[in-house]
Amino acid sequence: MSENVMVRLEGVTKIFTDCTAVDNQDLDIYEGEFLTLLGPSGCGKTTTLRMIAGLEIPTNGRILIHGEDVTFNLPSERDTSIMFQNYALFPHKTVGENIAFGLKMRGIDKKEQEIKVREMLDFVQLPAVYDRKPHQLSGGQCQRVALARSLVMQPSVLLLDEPLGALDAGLRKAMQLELKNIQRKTGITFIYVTHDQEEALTMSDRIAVMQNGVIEQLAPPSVIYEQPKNEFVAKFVGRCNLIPGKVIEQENGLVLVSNDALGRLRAKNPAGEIRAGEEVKILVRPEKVWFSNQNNTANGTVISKAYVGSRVDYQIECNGLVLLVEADALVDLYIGDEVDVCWEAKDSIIMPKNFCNTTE
Amino acid sequence: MANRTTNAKSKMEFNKVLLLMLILIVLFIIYVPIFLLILFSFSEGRFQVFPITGYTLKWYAQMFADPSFVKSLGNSLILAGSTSVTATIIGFFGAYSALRSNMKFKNIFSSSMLLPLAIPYILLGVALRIYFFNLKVPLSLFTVYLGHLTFTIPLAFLTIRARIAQIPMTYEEAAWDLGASRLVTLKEIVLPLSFPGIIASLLLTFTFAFDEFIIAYFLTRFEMTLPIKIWSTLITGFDPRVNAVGTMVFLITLIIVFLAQKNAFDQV
Repeated sequence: MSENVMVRLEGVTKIFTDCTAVDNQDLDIYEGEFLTLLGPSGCGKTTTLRMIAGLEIPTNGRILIHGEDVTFNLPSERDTSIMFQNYALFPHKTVGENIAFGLKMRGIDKKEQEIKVREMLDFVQLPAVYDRKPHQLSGGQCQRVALARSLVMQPSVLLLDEPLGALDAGLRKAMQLELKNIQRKTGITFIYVTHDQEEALTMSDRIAVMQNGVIEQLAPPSVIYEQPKNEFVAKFVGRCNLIPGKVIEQENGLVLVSNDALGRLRAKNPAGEIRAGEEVKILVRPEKVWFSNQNNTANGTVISKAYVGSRVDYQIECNGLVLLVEADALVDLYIGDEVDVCWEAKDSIIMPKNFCNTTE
Repeated sequence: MANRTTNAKSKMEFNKVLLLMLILIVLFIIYVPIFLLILFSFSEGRFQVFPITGYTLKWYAQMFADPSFVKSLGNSLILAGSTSVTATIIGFFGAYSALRSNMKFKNIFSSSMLLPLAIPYILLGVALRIYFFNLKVPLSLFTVYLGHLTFTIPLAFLTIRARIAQIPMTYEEAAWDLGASRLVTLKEIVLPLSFPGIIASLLLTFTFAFDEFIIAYFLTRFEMTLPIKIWSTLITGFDPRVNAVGTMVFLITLIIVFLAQKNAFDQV
């Protein structure tokens, strides 16, 4: 990934008649990057994408592609191509005509159109559907055709609006890998919109977690997952245990926190300075917790058990506080069993309470 | 117990028969006059009475021999044809802009497009006659054409709007994104996808314009349409040729309705 900025949003705001969809957003997207806009529905991620594509005009701010201001350019005048959730394949045209549509608009001659279209169909591994109509294709095939129709234009930026949303789980997994491979092979900048955190974590170079038209955190997947900036991000990208407490002191990069139920706990503090006496929450991911009596230990009772195949989810009640534990399927506990739970201090982080649901 | 079920069963059977009879009566009331019209158009006698003494095609022959009948049929076909094409073109653009533009007062625009449908034809006819008279436009088939547009455009607008409303916006957005201008998108995407609506609109407005009497009566003088010709033939006493004309008109309408239905079913 080079460090050239491909797409830049400067203070972009979009106000619809009844709401602010995107609020004063700054964002740099680098050349060859796979960036995901992740958030719940109505958070402004699709609006952001549509503004980059030129399908919406920002109320305020500028959009630059290749350093050139394209805020008011038509979709056809931008070096971008968008893939819609419903694929938007033209139902009255054959697959070949669909993929050739953009080339035809560029005035490329018929013979060359066909050569390029067939190349593209080979590339997305659908060589045999040239003469079919979209309604004769399966969902996965439609998706590949839509991808081919966008890629044949050789855009610098490919915008994807929840492209896998309509596929079943198995196919979605396969297409995730394939999209990522295609992105690597072509070197095209992908801007990907999804509300599926797993999809975002698997595919992205960076994730922008959005809420209420604002980016809450912009970071690589591992940072988003392991060091979420606030409670919203933490909850959105995965399940979590949030243990409230009061800061006692800070020592060797770890913070000592007291909790009514569990006593004294140690946790990392990536945010930096913190005052003694401050109300905080400690985040521990359920898969970081195991049954043993070391480190941050608590004693509790199993109150529920759910078999999920590769693992077992337990809820453990410790002095009124319920902890979620994702355990190995080999662990075999029963409801009512007394157990010791623990996690390493480095696997838990401090989340200042005043960061919750606020923006900086 | 068994008795009760049989009772309920026979009651249901009875209701079914009742419903069937009702349907038959309605169909009878609707279609018998038309059937009689067709039957008497082949009857030899000058008067419409039973028993029919013999069958003949002479009324058809006489009708086609009368140049004024042929002329009025021609007038009506030209009128209905041009009205339906014009109304459909205007209706298409009206429907497209009513759905896709982001102009203000879109709702007012839509309802003002539909208003003429609510105005009685006789008022439209009188108003337009006064209007053309004051503008010194001579009454002719052309003024009838303009008059018919006032109520066929809303029909076309409604029919085509229903169709375009079913086309997802993303098709057009995808076309723009792939480099098509608005106009090219209209031609490449919207037009082919709203084709069933356009056909339906053409057929619907054609039959309305072909049958319409009141507005045509007020807005023409010497160039008669077929309904006016039929009316003026009948005010001087019954003429069996009218049965032949009626049968022909029925046939033309039937063909058009059949085409419209087929078009509608092909879409399902």
